[in-house]
Amino acid sequence: MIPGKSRVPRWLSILIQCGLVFFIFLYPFLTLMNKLSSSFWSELFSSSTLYIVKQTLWMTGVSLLLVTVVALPLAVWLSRHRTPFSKYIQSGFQVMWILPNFVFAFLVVGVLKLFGVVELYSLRTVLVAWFLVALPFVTIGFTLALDDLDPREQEAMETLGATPRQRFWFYDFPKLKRAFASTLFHQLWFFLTSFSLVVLLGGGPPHETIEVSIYTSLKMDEVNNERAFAFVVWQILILCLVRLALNWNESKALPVGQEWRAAPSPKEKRWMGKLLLALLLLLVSTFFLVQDDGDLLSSLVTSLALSLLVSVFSIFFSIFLYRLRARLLAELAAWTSPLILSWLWWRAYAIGNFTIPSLLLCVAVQTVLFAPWVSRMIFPLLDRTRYSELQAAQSLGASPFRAWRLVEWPRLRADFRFIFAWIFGLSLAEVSSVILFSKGDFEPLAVWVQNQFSRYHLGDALKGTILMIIYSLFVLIFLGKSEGVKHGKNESSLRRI
Amino acid sequence: MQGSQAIVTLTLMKSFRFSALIGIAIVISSVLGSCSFFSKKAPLGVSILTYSSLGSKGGFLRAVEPVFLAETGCALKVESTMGAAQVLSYLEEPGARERIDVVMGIDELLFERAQSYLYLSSEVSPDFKPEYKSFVKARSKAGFFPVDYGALSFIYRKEAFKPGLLKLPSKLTDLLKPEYRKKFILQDPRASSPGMLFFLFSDGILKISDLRKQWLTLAPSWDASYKMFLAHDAPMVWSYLSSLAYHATQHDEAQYGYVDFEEGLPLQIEGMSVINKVGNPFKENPCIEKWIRFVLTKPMQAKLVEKQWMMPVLEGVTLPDYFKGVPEIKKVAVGNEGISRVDSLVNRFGKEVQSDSW
Repeated sequence: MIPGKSRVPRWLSILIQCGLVFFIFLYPFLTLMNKLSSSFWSELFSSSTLYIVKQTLWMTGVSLLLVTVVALPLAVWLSRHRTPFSKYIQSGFQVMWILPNFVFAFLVVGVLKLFGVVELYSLRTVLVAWFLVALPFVTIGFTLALDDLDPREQEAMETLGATPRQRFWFYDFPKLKRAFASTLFHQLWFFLTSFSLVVLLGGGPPHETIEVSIYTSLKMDEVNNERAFAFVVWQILILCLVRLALNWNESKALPVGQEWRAAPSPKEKRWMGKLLLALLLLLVSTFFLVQDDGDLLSSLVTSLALSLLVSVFSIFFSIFLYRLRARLLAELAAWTSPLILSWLWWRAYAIGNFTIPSLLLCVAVQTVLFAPWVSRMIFPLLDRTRYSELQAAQSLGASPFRAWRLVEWPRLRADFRFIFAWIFGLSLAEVSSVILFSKGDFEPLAVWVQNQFSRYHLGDALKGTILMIIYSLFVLIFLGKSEGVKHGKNESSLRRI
Repeated sequence: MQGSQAIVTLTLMKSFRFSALIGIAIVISSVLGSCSFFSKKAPLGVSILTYSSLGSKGGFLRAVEPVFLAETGCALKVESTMGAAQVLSYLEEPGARERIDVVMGIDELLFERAQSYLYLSSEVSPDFKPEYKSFVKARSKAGFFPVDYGALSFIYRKEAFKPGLLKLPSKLTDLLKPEYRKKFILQDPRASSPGMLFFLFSDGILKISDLRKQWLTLAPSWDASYKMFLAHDAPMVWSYLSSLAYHATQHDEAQYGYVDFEEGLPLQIEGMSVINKVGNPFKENPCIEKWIRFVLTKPMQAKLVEKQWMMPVLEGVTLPDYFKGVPEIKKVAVGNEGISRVDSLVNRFGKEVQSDSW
């Protein structure tokens, strides 16, 4: 297999894409639309629906502004000061990504309590939580963009008498404003589909977003399809605008060169430290596991297998879509609510006349949900496949696979490892889709933890949560910090996240 | 030149083959996946649809499965879903109804909604007369077999209600007093059954728009609200009285109590119902009756208490020691239940909480 230029005939590519669009989006959506009554139109423009739309836009706007104000100077500082402290900050940021949302929510409440805040659950709390969760993503996105600039030009500016501030405003910012905007658009998407933090920290209605309203429309005994679909339409509309703006913005973005960067030195690999930390984590998890009667272990193994499958399938699915030239299809899942997509899949494929095994469905739905993000990282990498060198290797007798392994794999390895670790962590902390699809035939850690809570086994629930974090950390330690990320060598792939 | 053209052609063929293979594999696996998992009912057994905490590992159903098989020769097939709320979606699907015999864990509201899919007759053999508690019997409905119940009220932390500090509320309107502002946690009625029961209980007595200023938060689920309570976010939480039994297992029961409202306390009765199919399901599948009889025996009720932390519906069930502190309900709140009340509440809820927000 060589992930490279697509050679799939156009007709076949279109046929497969149509099939995928039908099975992934159309069929599940049609099952819901079938049940819609005429009250859908009144729900679409009702005052309470418009109120939620307005509230969502207001909350996302304020949060984005707050996070930009802090992340931009922080990113400039991180990019200009390569100290151990700045590296620790970046590592700390990565750890925040892997925390399950409910753990993060309780940490935020804990911090607010420390500061004596009385109204723990309010709109302000959601804004604080969004700010904290967005800060790492936006800062790292900005830092990677800043790292992409050629320092020789920056040094030349300073030699000519420019102050660091002038350098930023007259050189860095004009060159990178579209890269910055790209990061902010991505963050906007995360805010617009944010669910757990709002539902846990908002204090309940009226502080809710479109995604939370979809959830409450689907949650109680009588599913309110009309209300849910009215919110879905608004969300699709807003997300489409965001994606179009993002694509337009990126099409105008200037490529920034990184050829000046040196290859990473093998001396920088701190294997001993990583090994010690991994052993410590393993020791803690073993301590929990030996105390248990086996249920925790089996849930952990299920979770790890699920996350492994999701990470691998996400990468393969993106490569497959690349070969089909299906860029639009790769993005489609990001144009609607993850919650509604999971729900529709559950209705269409999990409980209907024919059913697909829950574990398979769970892997499939997560693969589709993560595809937009994986594709945005993988497509630019594959765009730069060195076909001439591949052909040369094959002319010299290498099989296509061997040629690709020798020519392309060394270039891609670090980024693929990073993508794998990122998706693995996301999948391990993913709760809602897992809980929805588990029918008792498989019980990943997230479901196990949830069940322990409902049976008052709070100590066990805490153990399960800690294990989830430990294993996310474990993967992050060994795979997450690829050389490419550390040295800003991810080029356009990571520049765009 | 010819050589390189041949290589390009070969690569083209290989790439095409690879893509085609992946496409075919996806199609075949989808077809196989769907075909092989078409409903196939076991020859002798009962298929139960329930929610996750009842049907998952460590839950009641998994624990009694081997006992039921040994006693009756009927196998138990369990399909569980995220929560009681998803059960109705299941029942709407003809395919799901075909493979399920009994739905377990539904409360009275859900039973009312799902009636069109259920066998509305309790015609188990005449000799089958479970000794239900009086208030459970008073609410009996044809086709609904109660299995457990829970009374709900505010569970409070006693240290916050010492003399000189807060006084315990005694009636619902007390909750609107300034001293209780941000002192209690409720659940969102649109997402949680206990939350719905509170708002049904207080509907007509308290205005949602007034109450909105008082609660600390409307948690999305009961377990989220209890976690907040245990983290000392507020001194009171709307919960099941059986929460007191949990504290007894932690040996801190002396620190917690419950609020006994003058209006009484609302009850949540959970039960099971048989899916309506062609003919009489009890005659079509004798295992269904065996299952209903099995659950409504005293040992199984005791097991249910242990696993589900709910109270038994039968008289004379021996409770675990840690349930000794859970009070028997003195006065059941006048029912505001009924689908029409629920729908009206959900419709009003969004508008009333949004008023004066901007």
